[in-house]
Formats: sequence, structure tokens, C-alpha cells
Amino acid sequence: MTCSFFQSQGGSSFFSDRFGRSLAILSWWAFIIALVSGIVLSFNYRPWGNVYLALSKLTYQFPYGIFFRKLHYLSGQCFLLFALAHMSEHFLRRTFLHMKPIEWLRLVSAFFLSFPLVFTGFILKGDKEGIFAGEVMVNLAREIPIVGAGLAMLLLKPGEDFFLRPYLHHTVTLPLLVIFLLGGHRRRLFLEKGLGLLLLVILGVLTFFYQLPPDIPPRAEIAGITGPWFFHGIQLLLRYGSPLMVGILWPMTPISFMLALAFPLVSSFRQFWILTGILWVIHLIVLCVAWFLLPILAGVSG
Amino acid sequence: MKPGQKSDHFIPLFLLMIIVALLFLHEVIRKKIPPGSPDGCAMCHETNTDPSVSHPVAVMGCAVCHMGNPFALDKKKAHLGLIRNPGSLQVAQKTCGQPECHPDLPGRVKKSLMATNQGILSVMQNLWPHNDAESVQNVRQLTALPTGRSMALDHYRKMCGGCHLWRPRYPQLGEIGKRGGGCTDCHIQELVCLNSDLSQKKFNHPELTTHIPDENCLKCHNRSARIGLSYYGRFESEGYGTPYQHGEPGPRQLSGNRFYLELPSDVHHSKAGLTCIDCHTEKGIMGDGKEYQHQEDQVDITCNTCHTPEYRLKDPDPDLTRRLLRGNGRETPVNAGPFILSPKESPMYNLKAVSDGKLKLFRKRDGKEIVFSGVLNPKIHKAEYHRRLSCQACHSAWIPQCYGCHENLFLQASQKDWLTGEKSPGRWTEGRSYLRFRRPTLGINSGDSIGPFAPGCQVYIEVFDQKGRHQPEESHRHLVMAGFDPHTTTLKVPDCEGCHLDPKILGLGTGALKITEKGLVFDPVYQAAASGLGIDFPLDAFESPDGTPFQLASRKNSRPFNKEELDRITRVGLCVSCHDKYDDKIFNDFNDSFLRFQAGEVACRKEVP
Repeated sequence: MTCSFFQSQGGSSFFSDRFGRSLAILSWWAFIIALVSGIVLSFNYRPWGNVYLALSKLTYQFPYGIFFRKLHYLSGQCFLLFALAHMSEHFLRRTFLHMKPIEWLRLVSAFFLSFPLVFTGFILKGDKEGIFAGEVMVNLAREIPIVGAGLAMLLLKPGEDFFLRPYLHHTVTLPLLVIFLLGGHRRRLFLEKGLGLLLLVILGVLTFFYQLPPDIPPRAEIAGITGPWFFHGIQLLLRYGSPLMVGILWPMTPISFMLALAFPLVSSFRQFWILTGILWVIHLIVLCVAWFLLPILAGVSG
Repeated sequence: MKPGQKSDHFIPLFLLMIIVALLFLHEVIRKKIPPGSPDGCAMCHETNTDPSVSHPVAVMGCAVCHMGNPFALDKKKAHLGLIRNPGSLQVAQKTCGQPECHPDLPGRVKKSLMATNQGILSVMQNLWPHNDAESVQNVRQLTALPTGRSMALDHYRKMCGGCHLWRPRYPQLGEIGKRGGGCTDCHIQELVCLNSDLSQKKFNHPELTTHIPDENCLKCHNRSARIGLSYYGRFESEGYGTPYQHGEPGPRQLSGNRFYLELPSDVHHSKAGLTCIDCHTEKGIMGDGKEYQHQEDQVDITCNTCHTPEYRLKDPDPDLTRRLLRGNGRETPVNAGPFILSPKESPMYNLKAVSDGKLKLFRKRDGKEIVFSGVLNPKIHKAEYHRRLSCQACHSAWIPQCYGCHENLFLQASQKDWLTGEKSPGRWTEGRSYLRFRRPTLGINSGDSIGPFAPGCQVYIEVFDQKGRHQPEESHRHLVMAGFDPHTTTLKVPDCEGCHLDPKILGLGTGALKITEKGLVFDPVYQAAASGLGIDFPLDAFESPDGTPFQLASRKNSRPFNKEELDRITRVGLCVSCHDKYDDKIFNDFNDSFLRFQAGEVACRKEVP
């Protein structure tokens, strides 16, 4: 028996068409699974008081708490990874040359928003890493000239309501923006239930075997506190560079270049496309170096 | 829906159903923490006893103090960030000092002398061979320094650094295993859990207390000034173990293979059964948030606090009062205010006026009432000519005196550094010339009052090189007398001659004192020339008869009596054998009486020696 998602859609570039579409479908359904599991979790999650304690209770004491948390975590990561793969596939195939600028802009923006979406989820763990991540986020935002202070206030308010704004962004603002930006995509992708079901099955099975990364107690003295995996490169560079340069400009540069590719005036230059690709590769290399170096550096300083 | 699509989804749907079924099964069979539990620790660890009445495990759980992941049942996750000793000063601000509990205490304790050891460090850095570039303010700084190897600091690291609150509590046997641990150094009743096997489900949690037992104080305060021992009437003897029993050393043993003799204990112990915390307030012990250099600056109590009380607190905070009095389930009965305030403004809720100058003190450990008098006989105690006398100058029965502290440094050997826990080159050994007990030498302490002094310390350092050869050029000596309260309070005080004519009390040393027209003549028992210590004065002499100091004093502005003071004291000494009453008329204006006597206006009943 062959499932619909393995069936050829025809066309000259079988791999690219089928593979690229599958990535989009997987990313979309991962988003939907994360959304639904997140809604289930939100019934018992409170972004105030002792968030760490409450989340520990939610995870280990509430019925099916650990299942939904794992499902939410895994689907969120899948959403990001499939979106990254989907975006890369589009980029490599230079599909932006044949797309309306607004479509490309929406696609890149949705892809970009998947990072803060996962990042705010990381903060909401309420553990030591989450608190550090929140503090880093708000401090980086403050570094932005002119609008920094205002943006920081929008993102997070230090104090008793530390988790409230990240919670609102994670559960309302960012998901709605992603849904809006995906626009026509979502109507097409909703119909592709087969791949979504398969993803749900795989993630469901994984929840039995996969161990969530440990939540580090906020009061614990543990060396090697890190942000989410995609933030490690920035975390490494922040040791050596200014926050504005390496925390804001460094990650925004490749995203900006990607957005610029929406405009024919820019995208017509092949060199610009190559330069953008090189930037992404450098980011990837820095990320890999950071994965290797951060534990070592933490051991030294810790 | 396209034809065939239903069958295409069959497999994923079927697998999904299996997953859901497994999920149900997993939920049914998994270990569950009972609803209402404060955390999941009791699933594996069950304590037979609560840490204290105010720290019930059933209500507070374990993770609130010991941290970790409170509801995780996986050992690795549950134990992530776990703290075995929440009282450790390294973590105390996050455990005992968390905002909901005792937030102001760890900060204060960290600045207290028992945590900083600033007094010991400053005295050693001032007096011992030391490189100023390595100077530190406190033990925390020294621990963080890779250097700090001057002779002063090396000696501290190896001989003194085992007694401070930053020291981690190690599961060691004996007294040394009970020292350190931050808050738990004092606030623990028994160390039953020290070597408990926590892999066993049931165990006894160490009992926390605010009624600090004296043993907790004595485990450290039994050396140097030895006030913990003296309070109990224990005099550390020379170490022979005499008097023998059944041909063996006697049973009066101290830690470190030391022995003691039984002497009269402090009257607060012998008559009232008071413990250390009955006098010493929490501000005096745990500090008031300021870093002090010496213990007399931090201690928040004087004799007058109780015996000449000032009722300064008229409107105490009722919540605070209630909380303090009900601490650990024992309520000390008190009447309404006003209350006595200590010099550092600590309310003395356990102290009340009764009537006729009597006061009532409620012992903190058991609430028993002790009725006692304030200062009696104002004529005696408020006499102008004795205004500089501290209470301890007269009311100290004895003081332990350890003469000649011989420190030998053997560079060919190594010794454990208490701060790093590792051995480092250089081994110290200590010896002494001799130990004595008797009434204290008096001198002027930094507050310009007259108080007890004892050797503290008379250091002779000898260095032996890598080949064990003596290095005389590196030898060093400094002889210091230190003023402190010996904690041997007695009601019975010596008669007038006992002070005014006793050369030992005056600081001249043991021997015969003659008062001549040319001045004081003193014949010491101690033969300095034969001592081999390279001194030309008795080891127990603070000053010469002409008031020249022989030894340093441990505090700025403290000193032995000077010539003028010695003359004044001994001049009175000539008269006090007959004029031995405080209300004797000659003391109304002694100088005038003496002048009249010298002018022959008044005859003396006795021949002046």
C-alpha cells in the first residue's frame, strides 16, 4: 500500500517538487500538533508564581502531562527544523525568482518568526535556562538603538510578571502571526492529512522513548547554562563581541538578505544569492563550533 | 475526498490508536505522586522525623530546601542541582535565605566574624611574617586566591582554617566532622544523618533548632581563649591525663588528645544553668550586617545589659514578639513591655523586671524562670575611683594562660590546607612553654577600661628547610597579651590587696613585689635568662615595674598599666590592708588623704613597709 504523500505529483523535478512540498506539509502539521498540544498544556500552565515548580508538577504529576509536554516540545522542534529545511530548499532552488515578492516576504517572515516562537517557549520552561534566556532576550532588545527600550518592554517585564509577556507572545501573538503569514499555504496544506498523521504517529512513538532535556532548578548552581540549540552560536559570540553586533546584527543579516531576495532588483544578481548562501553557511559553522566549544568553556569557567 | 484515501490513512490511524492505548496503559501503571504532596521526594526518601516543628516535611516537602526537580521521579532529573546541606553558605541565600523564608539572614551571617574570620586574619597578617601584597580581609577572599602563602596565611590555612562557617561539612568522625556547614554549623541538634545511607527509604533527618545547644559552640570555642571550656569550669591541662584512674589517663578528655582539670565554672552556669544563647543574642552571633574586625565589636551583650537594664523598648512589634517567643514550639511567658534592648537594639524578650531590683530571665532552651539581682551595692559598683574597672576585672575567677606558643614549620613535609582540602608543602607543629590558671592579669583594653589579659599569643616561629636544618635567620617571635572575657564569672571577688598588691594582677608577673620610696621593686619567679627564649623579662610579665611594656597588646589602644597607673594602684595598696571598706573616709578623696598622711597630719595605724 502506498500512502498519498509518497505518490508522485508529476513534473520534471520529481525530487524537488515532492521533497519540498513534503517539508512544507510536515512543517505545517508540526505547527498544528504543537498548537494543539500547547492548548492542552495551557489549561494547567500559569505564567506567574513559581513557574518552575508549577511546570514540574504539570509535567510529572498531572495525568498525561509528560506526554503532552514531550509532544509539544518535539512538534515545536520539528516545526522549526522542517521550516528551516523547507526554506533552504526554496533558497537553493531559487524559487524566489518565480514568486511574487509578497509571497516570498511572507514565507521568509513566517520562517523568521518560528525562531522567537521556539525561543519564547524555551523561556516558559521557567527553569534556570529559561530565566537566563529571558534576561538575554530583553537585554539584547535594549541594545537596539532608539526602539530598543520600548521593544524590550513589549517582550518581557522583569519582576513578578517575568513570564507573562513571553507567554502571551508564545501562545497568541506569534502563532497568530505565523498562521496569518502562511496565508494561502495553510488552506492547501490542511488537505494533506496523510503526512500529518504519520508525523503524529512518529512523534507519539517518540514520546515514549525521548527524554526531555532536564529542567534546571532556578536556584541550582550549575555551570554550562545554554539557550536553545539555534542560539548557541550567538551565545558563543556574545562572549567576545558587543551585544548589538553579535546579538542583533549578526542573526538579522542573513534574514535581511533573504528578505531582500524578494525584490527582482536584488534577486537578479546571482552574486547576492551566493553571498546570502555563504552567510548561512558561516552561521552554520559558528553554530557547530559553539555546540563543541560551549560545554568546554562552561567547564573552564564553571 | 479522493477514492482510496480512507485506506491510505488506515495505517497511521491504526498506529495512532495503538499509541493512545499505550498511553492509557502507561498512565495507569506509572508511579504517581499522591495529590497534595509538596513534592515527589518521598517516593524514594522518607524521613522518620521532621527537620523541626517549623519545617514539617509533609507541608514543605524537601525540594524547598534541598532544591532539585521537585516532581521528577527519574533519579537523574530529580537530583539535578540537589543540595545535600542547604545551610551551606555557598547556597544559603537560595535555600534558608529565599524570599519566603529568612532572606536577611545569610547576608548578615556572611559578614559575621564566624564566617569571615577577619579577627584572626587581621591579627595574624599584622603580627606574623607576611607579604602585604597577599593581604586578605576574610576567609572567602583567601579561599579564592591561588596565592596567600605567606607564613601568616600558610599557618592560617593549615592550623586555623578548619573553623569557619564557609567550611563544607564533611562526613568525618569526631569534632572536626561537626565543624562548618554554614547555618547548619549551629542550627542542628544532632548529626544523626551525617553518615546515613540515603539509599534506604527511611532515615532520620537531622534536627534543626533555634535553641542552639552549647555543644555546638564548644566544638569550636575550645581552643585559644578557650572560653567555651572555661565557662564549664574546664581548664585544659598540660596533657598528662592526671589524675590517673586505674593506672590509665583520667576520663577528662578533650578533642585532640587533650585533657582538662575541673575548676569552678562560671556562675551563670553553676547557679543558673544558662547556656551560651541565653546571653548571646542573634545579632551578636549572626552579625548585624556589618563586617567587624574583632569579636568585641560584634558581640551584642555586656554584663550591664541584664544587670543594669535599660527599658528602652516600649512598643515592641507584637508579631515579631510572638514569633520569637513561640520559636520551635516553646513559648516563653512574658508580661507586656517595656522591654530591655541590647546595645545593638536586640529586644531581650526573655528578660523582665520583677520588683525590688530583681529581674527574671527565661532560659531559652527550656523556658525555666531564673530570678536574679541587678547590680547590688551601688556604693561599690559606682565608686568613682573604680569607674574604669570592667566587671570582668574583679568577677573573673580565673583565666587560662598558655605561655610560649612554639610554632615550627618543617618545609620538607606537607600538611592539609583546610581551605583547599589538599596537602601543600610545609608542615606546622605547635607546642607551648607551659599552661597556668589563676586570676587574670589586668591591663587597659581598647575601650579604656581595665580588664583581664592573658597570653594571646606569645609566638616563637622556627623554620626548618627541605633538609630539616634549622634556619635561624627565618626565626620570628612576637609576644602578645590579649584582653578578653574569660567567662569564669564569680560572685566572690578578691579583697583589695588581692588586686592592688598582687604583681601578677598588675602585670609584672609572678614574684615578690616591694614598694619602696624609690619605686616598685619586683623579684620574679620566672628566670628569663635561663629560659632559652632570648628574653630578658618574665614570660608572664606584661610590663616592667616602671611601666615599660614588655609585650604587645592585641588591640590598638590597649596596653599594660603605665608607671603612673602602677604607682597609683600600689599607693592605694599600702592603705587597703587596713582601710578595706569602700565607705572608709580616706577614699572620699584619697589624694587629699594621702597628702595629709604624708604631711604628718594623720597618723597611720600600721607601719608602712
